[in-house]
Amino acid sequence: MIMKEANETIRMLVVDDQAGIRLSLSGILTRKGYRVSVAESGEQALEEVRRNDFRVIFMDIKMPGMSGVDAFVKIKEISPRSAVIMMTAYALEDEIRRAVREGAYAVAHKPFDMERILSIVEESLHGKTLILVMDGAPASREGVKQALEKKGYKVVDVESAEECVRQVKERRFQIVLLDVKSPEGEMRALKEVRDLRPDVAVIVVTARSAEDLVEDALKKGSFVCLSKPVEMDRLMETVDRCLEEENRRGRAP
Amino acid sequence: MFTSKILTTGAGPSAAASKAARYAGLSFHYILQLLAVGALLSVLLIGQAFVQKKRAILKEMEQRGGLLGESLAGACSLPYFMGDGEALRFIVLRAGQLEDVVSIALLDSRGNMDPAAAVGRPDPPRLRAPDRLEVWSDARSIHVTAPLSIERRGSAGLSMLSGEDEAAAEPSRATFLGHVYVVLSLERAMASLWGQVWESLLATTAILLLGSAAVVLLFRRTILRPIQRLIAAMRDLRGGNLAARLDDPASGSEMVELTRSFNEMTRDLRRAEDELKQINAELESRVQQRTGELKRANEDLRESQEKVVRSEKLAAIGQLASGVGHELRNPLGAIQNVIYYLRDSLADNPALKQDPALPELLDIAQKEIKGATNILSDLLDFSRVVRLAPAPCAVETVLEETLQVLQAPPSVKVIRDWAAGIPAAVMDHQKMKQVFTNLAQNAIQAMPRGGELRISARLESGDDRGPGIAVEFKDTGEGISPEFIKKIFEPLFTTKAKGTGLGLAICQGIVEAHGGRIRVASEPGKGSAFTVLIPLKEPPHDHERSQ
Repeated sequence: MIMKEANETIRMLVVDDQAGIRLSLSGILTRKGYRVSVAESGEQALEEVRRNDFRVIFMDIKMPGMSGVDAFVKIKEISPRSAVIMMTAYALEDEIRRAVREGAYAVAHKPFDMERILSIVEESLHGKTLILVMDGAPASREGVKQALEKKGYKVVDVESAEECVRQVKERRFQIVLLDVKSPEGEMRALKEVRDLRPDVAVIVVTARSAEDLVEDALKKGSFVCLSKPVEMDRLMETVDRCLEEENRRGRAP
Repeated sequence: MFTSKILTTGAGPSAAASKAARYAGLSFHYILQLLAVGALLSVLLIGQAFVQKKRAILKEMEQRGGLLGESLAGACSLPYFMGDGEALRFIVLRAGQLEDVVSIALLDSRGNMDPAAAVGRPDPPRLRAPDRLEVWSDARSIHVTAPLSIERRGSAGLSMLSGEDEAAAEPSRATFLGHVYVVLSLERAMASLWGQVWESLLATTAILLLGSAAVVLLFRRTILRPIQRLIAAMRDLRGGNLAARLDDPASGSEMVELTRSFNEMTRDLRRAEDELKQINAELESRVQQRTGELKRANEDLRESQEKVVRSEKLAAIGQLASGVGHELRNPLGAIQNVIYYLRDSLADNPALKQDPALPELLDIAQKEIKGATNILSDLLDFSRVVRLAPAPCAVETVLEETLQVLQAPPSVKVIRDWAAGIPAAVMDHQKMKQVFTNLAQNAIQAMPRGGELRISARLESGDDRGPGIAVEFKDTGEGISPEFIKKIFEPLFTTKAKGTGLGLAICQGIVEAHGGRIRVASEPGKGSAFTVLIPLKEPPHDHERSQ
């Protein structure tokens, strides 16, 4: 109830041509105390955005008329601070990639776990820094995760390159930490991450002393490359520096 | 007969013998004819000799008779003229003692016989030419009449010469007194002639017999025996023994030639047969090879046909699954949201206390949606192009990770049956883990009353795709009935009460994307074994299935 009071001023927009999703989602969000508007199409959504300032916008990708991604691109121009969560029932790979590259805050696959969606909403509202950690070794992964969470970052940890790519397609991470063991899987993931999110900072950690791997990593677009064993302090320092860099870039334009 | 006797002793008592007899009989026929001709010739020769000899004997006897008659007439003329009976009797008796003389008689000019001077019982004939020497013969004897005469020339001497010329020359000078009649027997001469004939007949017969015996012996030795051997060899040959060979006969150039020809023939036959055999074997092996090739081609064709049919079917199912799956996500999402909303709104609602079944039913609805979502995920997973992220990876690691997430009931004993040192294969770690997990779960589900799941991994020399790793999941469960075993990889086919029938189809898609395959062996009531074969060589990157 306390939260409900606080949420009163937060505006959200649900855009979906499917009444079921639109109404159920807006109903839930309303129950959570947010001020929810709905739109049935991309055009309607644009009108809504011009009229009100929405903190979070739920946007279905596949809609008749203007597609969700096109609508999102236009919304970004009007209201760049809005967190746009794309929703899809379809495996529209190209559209999803485009949305991710354009900076969608998250991509939610229907039917979605409402708890998870709500936590994503919370994170966006609190402006938490999102970090993806990929490490095949559970112990070191856990260590890195705890250290980062202690600093107040939201951490998603995965153990495989494939999962890493999948996560990048779902959330807008600010930093991706990649532990590269073999050139095949992880380097390909790195390339894929770069392709999806050219703007993301990738920190590659490698146990290999091989310089060519490091070089290759840099060539493929890692922000920085660290050789194992990496001290936690140095890692944290690198993360901070990356974020600073990003903030500076974010302010620049 | 003579010939047949030789034949029956010469040849054995068999059908072949009769053949040999026919063959030999023919030859003996010629020999018989030869013998007959020889006999006829010798009879003719002997007959001619007999006739000639008889004529000669007759002539000689007639001469002898003539001479005897003349000399007797000469000797008797004077005493007859003088009437000296004593001398006449003496002369006649002495002459009668001569060989072959049967009878002698003295006849006067009128033809009356002087009985005092006679030998034997003469039967003098009537005289035809009284003054001349006459000789004639009948079958048994020679008859001679010689005239008794006195020369009336100057001299008183009596001439013993009474030749016709002389008599004719001076007929008027002789005084005809009478005749001497002598009969000579031919019996002795003819007997000796017949003796000679018999002798020569015997000799000829003996010579002919001996000669033909010699010919027969020679024939047997030089022709019949080699021919018999040849026939036996021919029979042998016909019986299939091409190794039949004849020894060179001692003599007879034709037989040597024949034997040689036969040996050459069998050799040629042998060679021809060998060649034939070789050609046959070659042909057979070629036929076999071709048959194998055809069979393989046929199998390949059928396999690729099945593959095409299957992939088309899969594509159609995939398209349908993809469309329906995505389309269903919207209503599912809405329902899920509604449930969330209801639960949230009921959390502090008094209605919940009045009806405790409500949260339970909401839980059920939530669970069903989760199940439906999983089915949709399976469908979409199945319809998606299998995109591999291959990397060299130890199969033991994947198996260990599979076992970590595998939830086996205590009644199922899981046995790890693999040795270290299996070479790493290039594979998609996560996808392979998905396959292993699926197969292990299937195995556990096949053993509701418990049992044993044996997971083994080993290096296999493999089939045409080269060496690979074989990972086997063997359970002691219900097994799969033979009618189902071909269908288990078909999408949407399931024997489980709760199952989409997509698990194995997805597994197969993943394994085939690796260039491998899944092998199934099952015995109803005893259990099943699923073997994943992963080739060691690099798999193709994408495995097109649909879209």
